[in-house]
This record gives sequence, structure tokens and C-alpha cells, in this order.
Amino acid sequence: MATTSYLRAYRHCTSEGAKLRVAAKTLETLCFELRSARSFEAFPKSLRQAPLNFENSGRQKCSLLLRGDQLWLQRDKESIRLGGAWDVQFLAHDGLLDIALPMAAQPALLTALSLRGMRRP
Amino acid sequence: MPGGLLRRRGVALVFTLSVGVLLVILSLSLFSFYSNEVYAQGQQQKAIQAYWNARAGLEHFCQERRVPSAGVYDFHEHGRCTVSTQGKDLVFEGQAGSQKRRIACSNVTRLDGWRIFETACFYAVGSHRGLGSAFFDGGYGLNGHHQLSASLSALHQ
Repeated sequence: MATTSYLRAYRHCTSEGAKLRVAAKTLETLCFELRSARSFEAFPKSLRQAPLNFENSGRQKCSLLLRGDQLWLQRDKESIRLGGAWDVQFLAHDGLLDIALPMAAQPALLTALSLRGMRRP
Repeated sequence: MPGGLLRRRGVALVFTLSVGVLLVILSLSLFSFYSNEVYAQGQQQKAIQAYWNARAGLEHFCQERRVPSAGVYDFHEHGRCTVSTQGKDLVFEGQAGSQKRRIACSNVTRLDGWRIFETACFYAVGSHRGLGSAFFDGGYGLNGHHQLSASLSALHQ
């Protein structure tokens, strides 16, 4: 019984580690895409509430949105899956955009992005 | 009481105690393994957050174009990022718990000027398992838009 519970706990730990790495990768891809922005329409507090719309440096209309547990970027007519994410939260202040990636059983991953050179609401 | 019965009882007692001790050792070993896994998982989370704190510090610097007077960006419960200069390099050290990750921007020519990154930024290696080295290419385009692309090779595995 002890062995079974250990194996179960071990599997839980490794799956949480895998989820964490996936979240970090998603955040990396998200930051990369947001850096191509030249103007934002509005910053929703959470992507669960509304998509994040922006225009990239190639003057293409882009939209970041969640479909289920996946983060998608809609650019013109194509959709690109950026990675797994339960939610993405934004907070714009002092020319910076705080980005938080909440996770189910762990603290959220948090970073910031400079909005210098980007037109914002 | 006959001696044979006493001997058998003694053997049974020793056997039971041995099995008990073995079970205790096994339980302690499994608990120890489990604790290690939980600790490693927590440290991995902190290591990744420390890296993102270093990135956030770099972004704050890109926005403000100056090093904070105290040399620290405080991200409250998420940790902090300390900024220091090493020769021409500007080092952003993200911290979360006991974990630290550094991003060193090389060839920083003028800290208060428009053109900050002359050639590239280099992210120093992370020592925790699952994290390796990553590489930044930094610079400002002709249109003045902030362009900083990054790849974190180990995380992409």
C-alpha cells in the first residue's frame, strides 16, 4: 500500500513538473508573440473574460484567445496553437504589462513585458 | 513450559520484529523519496519563476532605461530581481525563494541612451535540473520598436 501511494505521489509530482514546463513554454511563446505588437485595442484582465486583440508589426490583426485549456493566436485567417494554459491574466501599468499564468495546483508564473514603442489604450 | 515451545515463540517474535523493522525502514525510505520529489518540484517552480523575474527585471529596465536606485525590482511574493554591473555587462539576477537565475546583457554601451543593447544578451546557465542555457538576441530596430527575441532551449524540450 505504501509503495502504491508513493508511486501515485511520484506520478503526481512528475505530472505537475511537466505542466510547469509546458506553462513556461507557453509563456515564452506568448511573450514572443506579444513583442511583435505595435498597438493594442484593450487589455482584458483575463483571457477567460475576453480575447486580447492587437495589431502586429506586419499590420496584421491578431487575437489571443483560449479554447478549452489551449491558448490560440488568431492571425488574419489562420489559427496558431501557442500551448496549454488554463488562463492568462494581464495588468497594464506604467508602460509595462504584467502577465500571469495561473496554474491549478501551483503558484502562478508571473512576468512583465515592456510596452515601449507599442500604442496602447 | 517445554524448551521447544519457548524456542519457537522466540523465533516467531524475532521474525515479527524483523518484518516490522523492515516495514518501518521501507516506509521511511518511501517517505524520504516522496519528500525529495516534492522538494525538487517546489525548487523547479521557484527556478522557473526566478528566470521570469530576471526577464521581468530586464523588461522594466527596457521600459525605464535606467537602473533602479536601490538596484532591485521587487515583485513582492513572486520574488525580486537585482541589477548589477560587471564591467560593460549589466546583470539581472532573478530570485524566487532560494533559487536564482541570471541574465547578463553584454556590451551595454550607454545605460541612459536610446540604443542600449549593442549586440546581444546572454542568459547564464541555470543549474537546476530541467533548465539549461538559453540565448537572447537583443536590439532595437530602425522603427524604434522594442525587439527582443528569446529562446529557452531546455524548457522547449
